[in-house]
Amino acid sequence: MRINRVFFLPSILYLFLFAATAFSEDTLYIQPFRAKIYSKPSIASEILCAVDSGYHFVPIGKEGNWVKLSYYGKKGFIPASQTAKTPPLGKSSSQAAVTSPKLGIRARTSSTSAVVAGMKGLTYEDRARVSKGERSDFDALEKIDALKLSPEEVSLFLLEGGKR
Amino acid sequence: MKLLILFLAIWTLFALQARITQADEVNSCEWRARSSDIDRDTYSESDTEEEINFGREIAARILGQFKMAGNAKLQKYVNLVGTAVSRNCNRPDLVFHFVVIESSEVNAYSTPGGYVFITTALLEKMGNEAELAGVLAHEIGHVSERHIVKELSLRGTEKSAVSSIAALLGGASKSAEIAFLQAVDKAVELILRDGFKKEDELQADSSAVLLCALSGYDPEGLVTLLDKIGKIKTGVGKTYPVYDVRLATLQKVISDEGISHMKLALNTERFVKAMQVEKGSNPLSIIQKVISGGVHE
Repeated sequence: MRINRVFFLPSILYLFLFAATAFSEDTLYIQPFRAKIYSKPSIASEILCAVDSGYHFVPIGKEGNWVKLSYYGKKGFIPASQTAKTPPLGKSSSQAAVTSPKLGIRARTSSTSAVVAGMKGLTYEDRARVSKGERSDFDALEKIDALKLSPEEVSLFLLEGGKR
Repeated sequence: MKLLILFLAIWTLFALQARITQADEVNSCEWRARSSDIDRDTYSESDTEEEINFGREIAARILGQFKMAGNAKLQKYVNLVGTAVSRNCNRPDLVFHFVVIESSEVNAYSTPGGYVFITTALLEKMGNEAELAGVLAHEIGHVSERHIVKELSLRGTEKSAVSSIAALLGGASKSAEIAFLQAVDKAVELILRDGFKKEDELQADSSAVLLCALSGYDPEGLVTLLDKIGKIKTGVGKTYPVYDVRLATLQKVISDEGISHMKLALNTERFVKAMQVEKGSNPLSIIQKVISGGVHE
């Protein structure tokens, strides 16, 4: 009797945990900035509504490359490629950083990796040697990073282009 | 008690069956699965940061070879088109940058972390905004699928792809530093000279079709542009898949997704206007080019 109890209790716990894990992994998270929910598994079908990045749901079906979901009583479809089993990752701070530490001539770049390399003592001569003398333009890169667009500008641009 | 165990056993079997069915479905649509369920779940925020840092080194190298086109309005226009498309991609962790560079090579390049470059020569071949969106979506596909990162960790498992770069960045030894810069060299060579492998190009094409359509652009834009470039057959990487194969793949995805009969935007007028700014004059030649390219609104 005691042996039975010793065997049954962990078994129940194991079965319960296993099944619970299997189901919880089915939760999907919306990845893009905003994703549209379609009435059918086709981009050509009617757009029912849109959900923001990070919205999570348990799919109620799958058709080809589309996931079926229920959203406030409406059943719709979303491309599987716009979903993942993990929440969307946040914007990286390395791109958001405007200024970077200055470590003299060896660290004139704004890149963390280059700063790391500079701190490790890699000289420009070393870099030139391993880089076959290739030239890098970090000033231009900083100009590119500075060219920021606001979400409003992008939305207006899309609206002017007549895109849904 | 026995009933409870029986119930839990059935529940477990049901859960197992559901997972097996799901796995079968994943196998049947591999190119999408790689970008969604399986691959992305293995990366963390620190991986993204390292990917961006690595990409910045490569981008700086590209900028060391090609000058940024001076026209600020054109740069902003291309950035707007690219950003509008990138909003629908599966990498919200990245800030994409789209840059016009001066080059007579008909080409576009992208680095890990979201730096996308398009040459002035390729822009001149275009007749509408949908073609531009198609090229940028193709490059976004390379970035979001981490093609460079995967290629460099070479033939390793996908799980180890970023970890290799993390190890290089985090390594304290001199050899690790040199290995990191050699990886940058290799990536630059891959982007500017060798090109991506065929499967990656086709995957980026497939993903571009979906991205364009989701963003409201006609994915046929990429088809018409590839057709034009294919006829010229100059200035492309040596490992670019044969254009006929790429065109056939694009047409298949467009057909499979039921997009072919949709009326999506080409935005020819806006594109022509933006290009007039680039040229500074002679809008007539651009309009003639659009007409001769057989582009329809």
